[in-house]
Amino acid sequence: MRNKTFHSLLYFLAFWLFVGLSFILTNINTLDSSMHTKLFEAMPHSGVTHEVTAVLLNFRALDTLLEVGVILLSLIAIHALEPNFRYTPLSFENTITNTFVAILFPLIALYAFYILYSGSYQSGGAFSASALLAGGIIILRLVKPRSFFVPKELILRFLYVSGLFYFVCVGMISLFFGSFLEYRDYIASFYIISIESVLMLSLGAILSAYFINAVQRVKP
Amino acid sequence: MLLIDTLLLVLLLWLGFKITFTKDHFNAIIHFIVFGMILALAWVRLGAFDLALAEIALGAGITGALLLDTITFLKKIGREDA
Repeated sequence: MRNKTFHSLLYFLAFWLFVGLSFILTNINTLDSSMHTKLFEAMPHSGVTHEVTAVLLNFRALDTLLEVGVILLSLIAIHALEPNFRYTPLSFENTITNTFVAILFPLIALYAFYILYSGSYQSGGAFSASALLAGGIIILRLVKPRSFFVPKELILRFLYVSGLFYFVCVGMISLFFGSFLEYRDYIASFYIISIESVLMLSLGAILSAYFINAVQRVKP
Repeated sequence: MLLIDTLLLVLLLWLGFKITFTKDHFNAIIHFIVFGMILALAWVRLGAFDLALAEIALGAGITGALLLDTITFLKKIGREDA
């Protein structure tokens, strides 16, 4: 059985990977403390008061840009798979779930906006907000499949790309005043909030499209 | 607090083991969703609240829904082994 030997080899490798990772983890003392002082020195110029948001969207904004690119790329891969089946809703509408979702979905959307806004001074931000929004849209899709409104494909595609597009645009604008994606003080606050708002809508559309497009696309 | 941390760690390892070795795929998916939620609790214990939120919404919610939909579709087209 070749399959069986392959599996046992896989388990063996996974076990040794686990052992190695545990060994590395026990040997980490603490993070380099010079990073901490550097971070706190730069915090007043970052435009936000929460450290994670400052690192994600100001100091290491290029990483976040590429992350958004990866998410968009995975959606393009899903589009390219061409599932040639017609999605038939599994659930049937009934009063209980309809009423429940009618109350729940506005709350989820409101909470997503709150998380987005509060990301500037506490934990939160665009990624968590977009995940919440996408979850809400998926619940809506599952419970009310027939009355679910899907915008035109062209508008949707524009929405998918808008997050990355706006991010790159901001990078280009900041190129005139310094280097790529480097902004400071008062303008940084505006840039970060606007990037996060666009990212939330765009990533929310992408993440919900993972679910909806993968099961709803019909052959043209 | 140490008790809670140990409990979370043991639970995570056990759930990971169950996900890998359960023969029934539906069972494995349910374990995966629970794994995501416990992992979110672990993130909260580590002080990373934004990660915990993203883990709940993405790891447990969206991935779980996608996997459940996939297994329903596979059963519908007659791949009972899937």
